[in-house]
Amino acid sequence: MTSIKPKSQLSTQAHVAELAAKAGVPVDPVKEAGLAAAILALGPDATLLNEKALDRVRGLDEGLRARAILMALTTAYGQELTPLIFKSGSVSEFATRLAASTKDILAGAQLAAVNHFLATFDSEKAFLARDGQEIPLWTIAEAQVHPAGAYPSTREARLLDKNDKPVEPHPLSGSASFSDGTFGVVRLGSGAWSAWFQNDWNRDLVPLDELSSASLQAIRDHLGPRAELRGLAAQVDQVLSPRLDKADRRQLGYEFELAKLDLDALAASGPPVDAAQLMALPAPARVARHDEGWLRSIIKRLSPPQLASGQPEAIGSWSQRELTFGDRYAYITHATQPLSSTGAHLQWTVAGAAFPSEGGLVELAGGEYRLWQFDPVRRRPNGPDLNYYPLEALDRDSLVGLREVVARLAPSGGEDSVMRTARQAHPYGASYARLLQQIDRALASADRAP
Amino acid sequence: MPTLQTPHVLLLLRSWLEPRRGLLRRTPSFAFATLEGERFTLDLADPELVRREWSDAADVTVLTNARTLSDLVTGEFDPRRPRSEHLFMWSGDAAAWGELETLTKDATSARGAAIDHLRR
Repeated sequence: MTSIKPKSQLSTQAHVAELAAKAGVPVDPVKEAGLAAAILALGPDATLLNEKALDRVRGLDEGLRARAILMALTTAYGQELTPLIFKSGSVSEFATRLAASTKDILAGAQLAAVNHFLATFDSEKAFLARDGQEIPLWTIAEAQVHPAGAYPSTREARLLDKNDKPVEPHPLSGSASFSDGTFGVVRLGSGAWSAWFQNDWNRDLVPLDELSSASLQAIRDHLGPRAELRGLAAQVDQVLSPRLDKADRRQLGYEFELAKLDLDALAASGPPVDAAQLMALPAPARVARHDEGWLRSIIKRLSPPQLASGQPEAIGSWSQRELTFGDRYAYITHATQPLSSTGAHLQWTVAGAAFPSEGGLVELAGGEYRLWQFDPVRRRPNGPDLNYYPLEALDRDSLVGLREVVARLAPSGGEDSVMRTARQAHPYGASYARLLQQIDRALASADRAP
Repeated sequence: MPTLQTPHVLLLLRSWLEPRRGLLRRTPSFAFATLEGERFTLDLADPELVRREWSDAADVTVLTNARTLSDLVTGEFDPRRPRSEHLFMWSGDAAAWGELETLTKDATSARGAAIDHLRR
Protein backbone atom coordinates (compact mmCIF):
# COMPACT_ATOMS: atom_id res chain seq x y z
CA MET A 1 0.00 0.00 0.00
CA THR A 2 1.08 3.48 -0.69
CA SER A 3 1.12 6.42 1.60
CA ILE A 4 0.96 10.07 0.81
CA LYS A 5 2.53 12.85 2.75
CA PRO A 6 -0.01 15.63 2.65
CA LYS A 7 2.38 18.23 3.90
CA SER A 8 4.87 17.47 1.20
CA GLN A 9 2.24 17.59 -1.47
CA LEU A 10 2.41 21.30 -2.02
CA SER A 11 6.13 21.45 -2.50
CA THR A 12 6.01 18.41 -4.69
CA GLN A 13 3.29 19.92 -6.81
CA ALA A 14 5.29 23.08 -7.13
CA HIS A 15 8.27 21.17 -8.29
CA VAL A 16 6.26 19.08 -10.67
CA ALA A 17 4.67 22.19 -12.04
CA GLU A 18 8.10 23.65 -12.59
CA LEU A 19 9.20 20.51 -14.39
CA ALA A 20 6.06 20.50 -16.43
CA ALA A 21 6.56 24.11 -17.38
CA LYS A 22 10.10 23.41 -18.47
CA ALA A 23 8.91 20.45 -20.47
CA GLY A 24 6.27 22.54 -22.17
CA VAL A 25 3.43 20.63 -20.62
CA PRO A 26 0.18 22.55 -20.64
CA VAL A 27 -0.92 23.00 -17.06
CA ASP A 28 -4.47 23.51 -16.03
CA PRO A 29 -4.81 24.53 -12.39
CA VAL A 30 -8.48 23.73 -12.28
CA LYS A 31 -8.10 20.22 -13.54
CA GLU A 32 -4.89 19.87 -11.63
CA ALA A 33 -6.68 20.71 -8.43
CA GLY A 34 -9.24 18.07 -9.19
CA LEU A 35 -6.57 15.51 -9.88
CA ALA A 36 -4.62 16.39 -6.78
CA ALA A 37 -7.77 16.24 -4.72
CA ALA A 38 -8.68 12.89 -6.19
CA ILE A 39 -5.29 11.49 -5.39
CA LEU A 40 -5.25 12.96 -1.92
CA ALA A 41 -8.75 11.75 -1.24
CA LEU A 42 -7.64 8.20 -1.67
CA GLY A 43 -6.04 8.46 1.72
CA PRO A 44 -2.86 7.12 3.19
CA ASP A 45 -3.79 3.47 2.88
CA ALA A 46 -5.28 3.46 -0.57
CA THR A 47 -3.69 2.38 -3.74
CA LEU A 48 -2.46 5.62 -5.11
CA LEU A 49 -4.14 5.63 -8.44
CA ASN A 50 -7.21 3.50 -8.69
CA GLU A 51 -10.34 3.56 -10.71
CA LYS A 52 -11.63 6.60 -8.90
CA ALA A 53 -8.62 8.54 -10.03
CA LEU A 54 -8.98 7.08 -13.47
CA ASP A 55 -12.53 8.25 -13.61
CA ARG A 56 -11.40 11.78 -13.06
CA VAL A 57 -8.45 11.47 -15.34
CA ARG A 58 -10.42 10.31 -18.31
CA GLY A 59 -10.98 13.04 -20.78
CA LEU A 60 -8.08 15.12 -19.60
CA ASP A 61 -5.29 15.97 -21.91
CA GLU A 62 -2.16 13.93 -22.03
CA GLY A 63 -0.03 16.42 -20.23
CA LEU A 64 -2.29 16.41 -17.23
CA ARG A 65 -2.50 12.67 -17.12
CA ALA A 66 1.24 12.45 -17.27
CA ARG A 67 1.45 14.97 -14.47
CA ALA A 68 -0.96 12.93 -12.41
CA ILE A 69 1.22 9.90 -12.85
CA LEU A 70 4.28 11.87 -11.95
CA MET A 71 2.61 13.40 -8.91
CA ALA A 72 1.70 9.96 -7.76
CA LEU A 73 5.21 8.77 -8.15
CA THR A 74 6.83 11.66 -6.41
CA THR A 75 4.47 11.61 -3.48
CA ALA A 76 4.77 7.91 -2.90
CA TYR A 77 6.76 6.20 -0.24
CA GLY A 78 8.72 3.15 -1.14
CA GLN A 79 8.17 0.64 -3.83
CA GLU A 80 4.74 -0.64 -2.96
CA LEU A 81 3.34 1.90 -5.32
CA THR A 82 1.02 0.31 -7.80
CA PRO A 83 1.15 2.63 -10.74
CA LEU A 84 -1.72 2.97 -13.05
CA ILE A 85 -0.29 3.17 -16.49
CA PHE A 86 -2.39 4.63 -19.18
CA LYS A 87 -2.12 2.42 -22.14
CA SER A 88 -1.86 5.37 -24.43
CA GLY A 89 1.72 5.13 -25.48
CA SER A 90 2.28 8.82 -25.71
CA VAL A 91 1.01 9.45 -22.19
CA SER A 92 3.10 6.69 -20.74
CA GLU A 93 6.13 7.84 -22.61
CA PHE A 94 5.56 11.34 -21.45
CA ALA A 95 5.26 10.26 -17.84
CA THR A 96 8.38 8.21 -18.21
CA ARG A 97 10.26 11.14 -19.59
CA LEU A 98 9.10 13.39 -16.80
CA ALA A 99 9.78 10.76 -14.19
CA ALA A 100 13.28 10.34 -15.52
CA SER A 101 13.81 14.06 -15.21
CA THR A 102 12.92 13.94 -11.52
CA LYS A 103 15.67 11.50 -10.69
CA ASP A 104 18.12 14.31 -10.29
CA ILE A 105 16.19 15.95 -7.52
CA LEU A 106 14.60 13.08 -5.69
CA ALA A 107 16.15 10.99 -2.98
CA GLY A 108 15.33 8.12 -0.72
CA ALA A 109 11.94 6.56 -1.00
CA GLN A 110 10.73 8.92 -3.68
CA LEU A 111 13.69 8.16 -5.88
CA ALA A 112 13.13 4.47 -5.24
CA ALA A 113 9.53 4.84 -6.32
CA VAL A 114 10.52 6.54 -9.53
CA ASN A 115 13.21 3.95 -10.21
CA HIS A 116 10.68 1.24 -9.58
CA PHE A 117 8.31 2.87 -12.02
CA LEU A 118 10.95 3.21 -14.67
CA ALA A 119 12.21 -0.32 -14.17
CA THR A 120 8.80 -1.93 -14.29
CA PHE A 121 7.14 0.17 -16.91
CA ASP A 122 5.96 -2.03 -19.69
CA SER A 123 3.07 -0.82 -21.73
CA GLU A 124 2.18 -4.36 -22.73
CA LYS A 125 1.85 -5.42 -19.12
CA ALA A 126 0.38 -2.23 -17.81
CA PHE A 127 -2.73 -2.73 -15.82
CA LEU A 128 -5.56 -0.91 -14.25
CA ALA A 129 -5.77 -1.31 -10.52
CA ARG A 130 -9.24 -1.47 -9.11
CA ASP A 131 -10.03 -2.35 -5.55
CA GLY A 132 -6.79 -4.23 -5.31
CA GLN A 133 -7.55 -6.34 -8.36
CA GLU A 134 -5.35 -6.21 -11.35
CA ILE A 135 -7.05 -6.11 -14.67
CA PRO A 136 -4.75 -7.21 -17.42
CA LEU A 137 -4.38 -4.69 -20.15
CA TRP A 138 -5.37 -7.15 -22.82
CA THR A 139 -8.90 -7.29 -21.52
CA ILE A 140 -9.17 -3.65 -22.34
CA ALA A 141 -7.22 -3.70 -25.56
CA GLU A 142 -9.19 -6.65 -26.84
CA ALA A 143 -12.36 -4.69 -26.52
CA GLN A 144 -11.23 -1.60 -28.31
CA VAL A 145 -13.76 -0.32 -30.74
CA HIS A 146 -12.37 1.14 -33.89
CA PRO A 147 -14.64 3.11 -36.11
CA ALA A 148 -14.94 1.91 -39.64
CA GLY A 149 -17.27 4.63 -40.74
CA ALA A 150 -18.62 7.90 -39.60
CA TYR A 151 -18.55 8.15 -35.84
CA PRO A 152 -20.45 8.07 -33.48
CA SER A 153 -22.40 5.56 -35.50
CA THR A 154 -21.08 2.61 -33.55
CA ARG A 155 -23.25 0.35 -35.66
CA GLU A 156 -20.47 0.61 -38.17
CA ALA A 157 -17.68 0.07 -35.70
CA ARG A 158 -15.44 -2.92 -35.89
CA LEU A 159 -13.67 -4.71 -33.13
CA LEU A 160 -10.01 -5.49 -33.38
CA ASP A 161 -8.37 -8.20 -31.39
CA LYS A 162 -5.42 -7.64 -29.12
CA ASN A 163 -3.07 -8.00 -32.07
CA ASP A 164 -4.95 -5.28 -33.85
CA LYS A 165 -6.32 -7.76 -36.36
CA PRO A 166 -9.89 -7.31 -37.52
CA VAL A 167 -12.31 -9.84 -36.18
CA GLU A 168 -15.80 -10.66 -37.25
CA PRO A 169 -17.88 -7.66 -36.24
CA HIS A 170 -20.28 -8.10 -33.44
CA PRO A 171 -23.84 -7.24 -34.29
CA LEU A 172 -23.99 -3.89 -32.55
CA SER A 173 -27.67 -3.45 -32.25
CA GLY A 174 -27.82 -0.43 -30.00
CA SER A 175 -25.71 2.51 -29.16
CA ALA A 176 -25.82 5.88 -27.48
CA SER A 177 -23.25 8.59 -27.35
CA PHE A 178 -23.11 11.45 -24.92
CA SER A 179 -21.56 14.82 -24.80
CA ASP A 180 -19.41 15.64 -27.81
CA GLY A 181 -18.74 12.08 -28.74
CA THR A 182 -16.21 11.35 -26.03
CA PHE A 183 -18.36 8.97 -24.02
CA GLY A 184 -21.09 6.57 -24.86
CA VAL A 185 -22.51 3.12 -24.48
CA VAL A 186 -22.78 0.29 -26.92
CA ARG A 187 -24.47 -3.10 -26.88
CA LEU A 188 -22.21 -5.91 -27.85
CA GLY A 189 -23.14 -9.10 -29.55
CA SER A 190 -23.44 -10.88 -26.24
CA GLY A 191 -26.23 -8.53 -25.26
CA ALA A 192 -24.10 -6.89 -22.57
CA TRP A 193 -23.88 -3.16 -22.63
CA SER A 194 -20.56 -1.47 -22.22
CA ALA A 195 -19.41 2.11 -21.91
CA TRP A 196 -16.86 3.50 -24.24
CA PHE A 197 -14.52 6.41 -23.74
CA GLN A 198 -12.65 8.35 -26.31
CA ASN A 199 -9.02 8.00 -25.43
CA ASP A 200 -6.60 9.71 -27.74
CA TRP A 201 -6.78 7.75 -30.95
CA ASN A 202 -8.73 4.85 -29.54
CA ARG A 203 -12.10 4.19 -28.06
CA ASP A 204 -11.94 1.94 -25.08
CA LEU A 205 -14.74 -0.25 -23.92
CA VAL A 206 -15.25 -0.29 -20.17
CA PRO A 207 -17.68 -2.70 -18.51
CA LEU A 208 -20.50 -1.01 -16.69
CA ASP A 209 -19.48 -2.40 -13.32
CA GLU A 210 -16.17 -0.60 -13.59
CA LEU A 211 -17.78 2.79 -13.99
CA SER A 212 -18.18 5.15 -11.11
CA SER A 213 -21.60 5.66 -9.65
CA ALA A 214 -21.69 9.14 -11.12
CA SER A 215 -20.99 7.84 -14.60
CA LEU A 216 -23.66 5.20 -14.21
CA GLN A 217 -26.11 7.77 -13.01
CA ALA A 218 -25.18 9.98 -15.94
CA ILE A 219 -25.96 7.14 -18.32
CA ARG A 220 -29.19 6.46 -16.52
CA ASP A 221 -30.15 10.10 -16.74
CA HIS A 222 -29.46 10.27 -20.44
CA LEU A 223 -31.32 7.25 -21.64
CA GLY A 224 -34.45 9.04 -22.63
CA PRO A 225 -37.42 7.22 -24.12
CA ARG A 226 -35.58 5.08 -26.63
CA ALA A 227 -37.07 1.64 -26.42
CA GLU A 228 -33.91 -0.05 -27.58
CA LEU A 229 -32.13 1.30 -24.51
CA ARG A 230 -34.39 -0.29 -21.95
CA GLY A 231 -32.00 -3.17 -21.59
CA LEU A 232 -29.25 -0.74 -20.84
CA ALA A 233 -31.32 0.89 -18.12
CA ALA A 234 -31.85 -2.47 -16.48
CA GLN A 235 -28.16 -3.28 -16.59
CA VAL A 236 -27.19 0.09 -15.19
CA ASP A 237 -29.68 -0.29 -12.38
CA GLN A 238 -28.35 -3.72 -11.63
CA VAL A 239 -24.90 -2.27 -11.09
CA LEU A 240 -25.90 0.98 -9.52
CA SER A 241 -28.59 -0.04 -7.07
CA PRO A 242 -26.41 -2.06 -4.70
CA ARG A 243 -24.12 0.91 -4.37
CA LEU A 244 -26.90 3.18 -3.36
CA ASP A 245 -27.81 2.04 0.05
CA LYS A 246 -28.86 4.76 2.37
CA ALA A 247 -25.36 5.60 3.53
CA ASP A 248 -24.07 5.83 0.02
CA ARG A 249 -26.94 8.02 -1.03
CA ARG A 250 -26.13 10.40 1.74
CA GLN A 251 -22.45 10.35 0.90
CA LEU A 252 -23.02 10.87 -2.79
CA GLY A 253 -25.36 13.72 -2.18
CA TYR A 254 -28.50 12.01 -3.30
CA GLU A 255 -30.33 13.37 -0.34
CA PHE A 256 -29.13 16.87 -0.91
CA GLU A 257 -32.18 18.88 -1.56
CA LEU A 258 -32.56 22.53 -1.00
CA ALA A 259 -35.26 23.24 1.45
CA LYS A 260 -38.39 24.75 0.10
CA LEU A 261 -39.79 26.39 3.16
CA ASP A 262 -42.84 28.50 3.37
CA LEU A 263 -41.81 32.10 3.32
CA ASP A 264 -45.21 33.61 3.67
CA ALA A 265 -44.08 35.75 6.53
CA LEU A 266 -41.16 37.08 4.58
CA ALA A 267 -43.20 37.51 1.43
CA ALA A 268 -45.80 39.46 3.32
CA SER A 269 -43.20 41.91 4.46
CA GLY A 270 -42.11 42.28 0.85
CA PRO A 271 -39.56 44.70 -0.40
CA PRO A 272 -37.80 46.72 0.66
CA VAL A 273 -35.65 44.54 2.79
CA ASP A 274 -32.00 45.06 3.48
CA ALA A 275 -29.22 42.73 4.49
CA ALA A 276 -29.63 43.39 8.18
CA GLN A 277 -33.33 42.69 8.05
CA LEU A 278 -32.73 39.57 6.07
CA MET A 279 -30.22 38.22 8.53
CA ALA A 280 -32.51 39.12 11.40
CA LEU A 281 -35.09 36.66 10.17
CA PRO A 282 -35.13 33.21 11.75
CA ALA A 283 -32.63 30.91 10.12
CA PRO A 284 -35.20 28.55 8.59
CA ALA A 285 -36.88 31.44 6.86
CA ARG A 286 -33.60 32.42 5.29
CA VAL A 287 -33.25 29.17 3.43
CA ALA A 288 -35.94 28.92 0.86
CA ARG A 289 -37.15 29.03 -2.66
CA HIS A 290 -39.31 31.91 -3.52
CA ASP A 291 -40.65 34.06 -6.26
CA GLU A 292 -37.99 34.68 -8.83
CA GLY A 293 -38.69 38.29 -9.57
CA TRP A 294 -38.93 39.20 -5.95
CA LEU A 295 -35.70 37.43 -5.19
CA ARG A 296 -33.91 39.11 -8.04
CA SER A 297 -35.05 42.49 -6.89
CA ILE A 298 -33.61 41.79 -3.47
CA ILE A 299 -30.39 40.55 -4.96
CA LYS A 300 -30.03 43.65 -7.04
CA ARG A 301 -30.52 45.83 -4.01
CA LEU A 302 -28.12 43.84 -1.91
CA SER A 303 -25.45 43.61 -4.58
CA PRO A 304 -24.59 47.07 -5.72
CA PRO A 305 -21.75 47.52 -8.18
CA GLN A 306 -18.58 46.38 -6.55
CA LEU A 307 -16.60 49.34 -7.71
CA ALA A 308 -15.68 51.05 -4.49
CA SER A 309 -15.44 54.79 -4.47
CA GLY A 310 -11.90 56.06 -4.75
CA GLN A 311 -10.69 52.76 -6.11
CA PRO A 312 -10.94 53.09 -9.85
CA GLU A 313 -9.08 49.86 -10.37
CA ALA A 314 -11.10 47.72 -8.02
CA ILE A 315 -11.90 44.35 -9.45
CA GLY A 316 -15.45 45.09 -10.43
CA SER A 317 -14.47 47.87 -12.74
CA TRP A 318 -12.77 45.60 -15.26
CA SER A 319 -14.49 43.32 -17.65
CA GLN A 320 -11.62 41.00 -17.22
CA ARG A 321 -11.38 37.46 -18.34
CA GLU A 322 -9.01 34.86 -17.26
CA LEU A 323 -5.85 34.38 -19.14
CA THR A 324 -5.85 31.26 -21.21
CA PHE A 325 -2.85 29.43 -22.46
CA GLY A 326 -2.41 25.97 -23.78
CA ASP A 327 -5.43 23.84 -23.27
CA ARG A 328 -6.97 26.00 -20.64
CA TYR A 329 -4.94 27.89 -18.13
CA ALA A 330 -1.42 28.03 -16.98
CA TYR A 331 0.12 28.59 -13.65
CA ILE A 332 3.44 30.29 -13.50
CA THR A 333 5.32 29.55 -10.35
CA HIS A 334 8.68 30.60 -9.21
CA ALA A 335 10.90 27.89 -7.83
CA THR A 336 10.58 29.33 -4.37
CA GLN A 337 6.85 29.91 -4.56
CA PRO A 338 4.58 26.89 -4.30
CA LEU A 339 1.37 26.70 -6.16
CA SER A 340 -1.23 28.88 -4.64
CA SER A 341 -4.91 28.29 -4.49
CA THR A 342 -6.12 31.83 -4.84
CA GLY A 343 -8.06 31.11 -7.94
CA ALA A 344 -5.91 33.32 -10.11
CA HIS A 345 -4.96 31.62 -13.28
CA LEU A 346 -1.68 33.18 -14.09
CA GLN A 347 0.56 33.76 -11.15
CA TRP A 348 4.06 34.91 -10.86
CA THR A 349 6.27 35.79 -7.98
CA VAL A 350 9.90 36.71 -7.96
CA ALA A 351 11.48 36.79 -4.55
CA GLY A 352 13.02 40.13 -3.81
CA ALA A 353 11.60 41.77 -6.89
CA ALA A 354 9.34 44.75 -7.06
CA PHE A 355 6.27 42.77 -6.15
CA PRO A 356 7.19 39.98 -3.80
CA SER A 357 3.60 39.44 -2.77
CA GLU A 358 1.40 36.92 -4.36
CA GLY A 359 0.11 38.17 -7.63
CA GLY A 360 -0.39 37.42 -11.25
CA LEU A 361 -1.43 38.71 -14.60
CA VAL A 362 -4.83 39.31 -16.02
CA GLU A 363 -5.84 40.26 -19.51
CA LEU A 364 -8.36 43.02 -19.56
CA ALA A 365 -11.19 43.16 -22.02
CA GLY A 366 -9.24 45.48 -24.27
CA GLY A 367 -6.33 43.09 -24.46
CA GLU A 368 -4.06 44.92 -22.07
CA TYR A 369 -2.30 42.82 -19.51
CA ARG A 370 -2.06 44.07 -15.99
CA LEU A 371 -0.19 42.81 -13.03
CA TRP A 372 -2.34 42.16 -10.00
CA GLN A 373 -1.34 41.65 -6.44
CA PHE A 374 -3.03 41.51 -3.11
CA ASP A 375 -3.14 44.75 -1.28
CA PRO A 376 -1.20 44.26 1.96
CA VAL A 377 -3.58 46.49 3.89
CA ARG A 378 -6.87 47.03 2.18
CA ARG A 379 -9.35 44.20 2.50
CA ARG A 380 -12.67 43.35 0.98
CA PRO A 381 -15.27 41.68 3.18
CA ASN A 382 -14.10 38.23 2.29
CA GLY A 383 -10.44 38.64 1.44
CA PRO A 384 -7.67 40.96 0.43
CA ASP A 385 -8.33 43.63 -2.10
CA LEU A 386 -6.46 43.62 -5.36
CA ASN A 387 -4.29 46.23 -6.96
CA TYR A 388 -3.61 46.37 -10.67
CA TYR A 389 -0.50 47.76 -12.27
CA PRO A 390 0.62 48.16 -15.84
CA LEU A 391 3.47 45.94 -16.92
CA GLU A 392 5.70 48.98 -17.05
CA ALA A 393 5.54 49.09 -13.26
CA LEU A 394 7.67 45.97 -13.08
CA ASP A 395 11.39 46.43 -12.77
CA ARG A 396 13.59 45.12 -15.53
CA ASP A 397 14.63 41.94 -13.74
CA SER A 398 11.03 41.08 -13.13
CA LEU A 399 10.17 41.68 -16.77
CA VAL A 400 13.02 39.46 -17.88
CA GLY A 401 11.87 36.75 -15.50
CA LEU A 402 8.33 37.07 -16.70
CA ARG A 403 9.45 36.86 -20.31
CA GLU A 404 11.30 33.66 -19.58
CA VAL A 405 8.46 31.87 -17.87
CA VAL A 406 5.90 33.02 -20.40
CA ALA A 407 8.17 31.82 -23.19
CA ARG A 408 8.10 28.38 -21.63
CA LEU A 409 4.38 28.29 -22.19
CA ALA A 410 4.79 28.67 -25.90
CA PRO A 411 3.65 25.88 -28.15
CA SER A 412 6.52 23.50 -28.20
CA GLY A 413 5.96 22.28 -31.71
CA GLY A 414 7.39 19.13 -30.30
CA GLU A 415 7.04 15.58 -31.34
CA ASP A 416 3.66 14.97 -29.80
CA SER A 417 1.23 15.56 -32.62
CA VAL A 418 -1.83 15.27 -30.39
CA MET A 419 -0.65 17.96 -28.05
CA ARG A 420 0.41 20.15 -30.92
CA THR A 421 -2.93 19.76 -32.62
CA ALA A 422 -4.79 20.45 -29.41
CA ARG A 423 -2.87 23.61 -28.86
CA GLN A 424 -3.45 24.80 -32.35
CA ALA A 425 -7.13 24.23 -31.88
CA HIS A 426 -7.35 26.52 -28.91
CA PRO A 427 -7.80 30.22 -29.41
CA TYR A 428 -5.08 31.32 -27.08
CA GLY A 429 -2.66 32.40 -29.74
CA ALA A 430 -3.72 36.01 -29.87
CA SER A 431 -3.66 36.40 -26.10
CA TYR A 432 -0.28 34.80 -25.91
CA ALA A 433 1.16 36.95 -28.65
CA ARG A 434 -0.26 40.07 -27.03
CA LEU A 435 1.35 39.27 -23.73
CA LEU A 436 4.74 38.70 -25.28
CA GLN A 437 4.44 41.91 -27.26
CA GLN A 438 3.51 43.88 -24.19
CA ILE A 439 6.34 42.43 -22.15
CA ASP A 440 8.77 43.21 -24.93
CA ARG A 441 7.42 46.73 -25.13
CA ALA A 442 7.79 47.20 -21.39
CA LEU A 443 11.31 45.79 -21.56
CA ALA A 444 12.21 48.22 -24.32
CA SER A 445 10.80 51.02 -22.25
CA ALA A 446 12.84 49.89 -19.25
CA ASP A 447 15.96 49.78 -21.38
CA ARG A 448 15.39 53.31 -22.54
CA ALA A 449 14.89 54.59 -19.01
CA PRO A 450 17.87 56.42 -17.55
CA MET B 1 -14.52 26.44 11.51
CA PRO B 2 -12.75 28.87 9.17
CA THR B 3 -14.84 30.18 6.32
CA LEU B 4 -13.61 29.43 2.83
CA GLN B 5 -13.25 32.57 0.82
CA THR B 6 -15.61 32.81 -2.08
CA PRO B 7 -12.80 32.66 -4.69
CA HIS B 8 -11.77 29.37 -3.13
CA VAL B 9 -15.33 28.15 -3.32
CA LEU B 10 -15.37 29.04 -6.99
CA LEU B 11 -12.10 27.23 -7.54
CA LEU B 12 -13.50 24.16 -5.88
CA LEU B 13 -16.66 24.34 -7.94
CA ARG B 14 -14.64 24.52 -11.09
CA SER B 15 -12.36 21.67 -10.19
CA TRP B 16 -15.33 19.46 -9.35
CA LEU B 17 -17.59 20.33 -12.20
CA GLU B 18 -15.39 20.93 -15.17
CA PRO B 19 -14.24 17.37 -15.86
CA ARG B 20 -17.77 16.03 -15.73
CA ARG B 21 -19.99 18.61 -17.25
CA GLY B 22 -19.77 16.99 -20.67
CA LEU B 23 -22.09 14.32 -19.37
CA LEU B 24 -24.93 16.69 -18.80
CA ARG B 25 -28.17 16.47 -20.70
CA ARG B 26 -28.68 20.17 -20.34
CA THR B 27 -26.49 22.95 -19.12
CA PRO B 28 -28.24 25.29 -16.73
CA SER B 29 -26.77 28.42 -15.23
CA PHE B 30 -26.85 29.69 -11.67
CA ALA B 31 -26.43 33.30 -10.68
CA PHE B 32 -25.18 33.87 -7.15
CA ALA B 33 -25.18 37.05 -5.14
CA THR B 34 -23.82 37.29 -1.64
CA LEU B 35 -24.46 39.77 1.08
CA GLU B 36 -20.75 40.48 1.06
CA GLY B 37 -21.02 41.86 -2.46
CA GLU B 38 -19.76 38.93 -4.50
CA ARG B 39 -21.60 38.12 -7.67
CA PHE B 40 -20.83 35.22 -9.89
CA THR B 41 -22.54 33.03 -12.42
CA LEU B 42 -21.99 29.32 -12.67
CA ASP B 43 -22.87 28.55 -16.26
CA LEU B 44 -22.40 24.94 -17.24
CA ALA B 45 -22.52 25.88 -20.90
CA ASP B 46 -19.85 28.52 -20.59
CA PRO B 47 -16.30 27.41 -21.37
CA GLU B 48 -15.19 29.52 -18.43
CA LEU B 49 -17.73 27.77 -16.21
CA VAL B 50 -17.65 30.48 -13.57
CA ARG B 51 -17.73 34.19 -14.24
CA ARG B 52 -17.47 36.86 -11.61
CA GLU B 53 -20.53 38.66 -12.81
CA TRP B 54 -24.25 38.54 -12.33
CA SER B 55 -26.52 37.13 -15.01
CA ASP B 56 -30.13 38.10 -15.33
CA ALA B 57 -30.69 35.19 -17.68
CA ALA B 58 -29.63 32.45 -15.29
CA ASP B 59 -31.91 29.46 -14.79
CA VAL B 60 -31.53 29.77 -11.06
CA THR B 61 -30.79 32.78 -8.94
CA VAL B 62 -29.39 32.48 -5.47
CA LEU B 63 -29.03 34.96 -2.68
CA THR B 64 -26.65 33.77 -0.02
CA ASN B 65 -23.62 34.75 2.01
CA ALA B 66 -20.00 33.72 2.10
CA ARG B 67 -20.43 31.57 5.17
CA THR B 68 -23.27 29.63 3.63
CA LEU B 69 -21.34 29.10 0.41
CA SER B 70 -18.40 27.88 2.41
CA ASP B 71 -20.55 25.55 4.46
CA LEU B 72 -22.34 24.43 1.34
CA VAL B 73 -19.19 23.09 -0.26
CA THR B 74 -17.87 21.66 2.98
CA GLY B 75 -21.11 19.88 3.66
CA GLU B 76 -21.74 21.78 6.85
CA PHE B 77 -24.81 23.54 5.58
CA ASP B 78 -27.93 21.52 6.12
CA PRO B 79 -30.80 23.31 4.39
CA ARG B 80 -33.23 21.51 6.63
CA ARG B 81 -31.49 22.71 9.74
CA PRO B 82 -29.82 26.01 8.88
CA ARG B 83 -27.85 27.75 11.55
CA SER B 84 -28.22 31.38 12.45
CA GLU B 85 -25.43 32.44 10.11
CA HIS B 86 -26.92 30.79 7.07
CA LEU B 87 -28.73 32.47 4.23
CA PHE B 88 -29.70 30.66 1.08
CA MET B 89 -32.65 31.81 -0.93
CA TRP B 90 -33.15 30.70 -4.45
CA SER B 91 -35.64 30.73 -7.24
CA GLY B 92 -35.87 29.48 -10.75
CA ASP B 93 -35.78 26.09 -12.37
CA ALA B 94 -35.67 23.36 -9.72
CA ALA B 95 -34.59 20.80 -12.31
CA ALA B 96 -31.36 22.75 -12.75
CA TRP B 97 -30.28 21.65 -9.31
CA GLY B 98 -30.72 18.09 -10.42
CA GLU B 99 -28.18 18.62 -13.17
CA LEU B 100 -25.77 20.15 -10.70
CA GLU B 101 -26.31 17.24 -8.38
CA THR B 102 -25.45 14.85 -11.17
CA LEU B 103 -22.10 16.50 -11.51
CA THR B 104 -21.27 16.78 -7.84
CA LYS B 105 -22.58 13.55 -6.38
CA ASP B 106 -19.33 11.71 -7.02
CA ALA B 107 -17.11 14.52 -5.82
CA THR B 108 -17.66 13.83 -2.17
CA SER B 109 -14.33 12.20 -1.50
CA ALA B 110 -12.46 14.85 -3.40
CA ARG B 111 -14.13 17.63 -1.51
CA GLY B 112 -12.57 16.86 1.81
CA ALA B 113 -9.04 16.81 0.53
CA ALA B 114 -9.44 19.92 -1.54
CA ILE B 115 -11.08 21.82 1.28
CA ASP B 116 -8.47 20.75 3.79
CA HIS B 117 -5.86 21.87 1.31
CA LEU B 118 -7.40 25.29 1.06
CA ARG B 119 -7.79 25.66 4.79
CA ARG B 120 -4.15 24.99 5.55
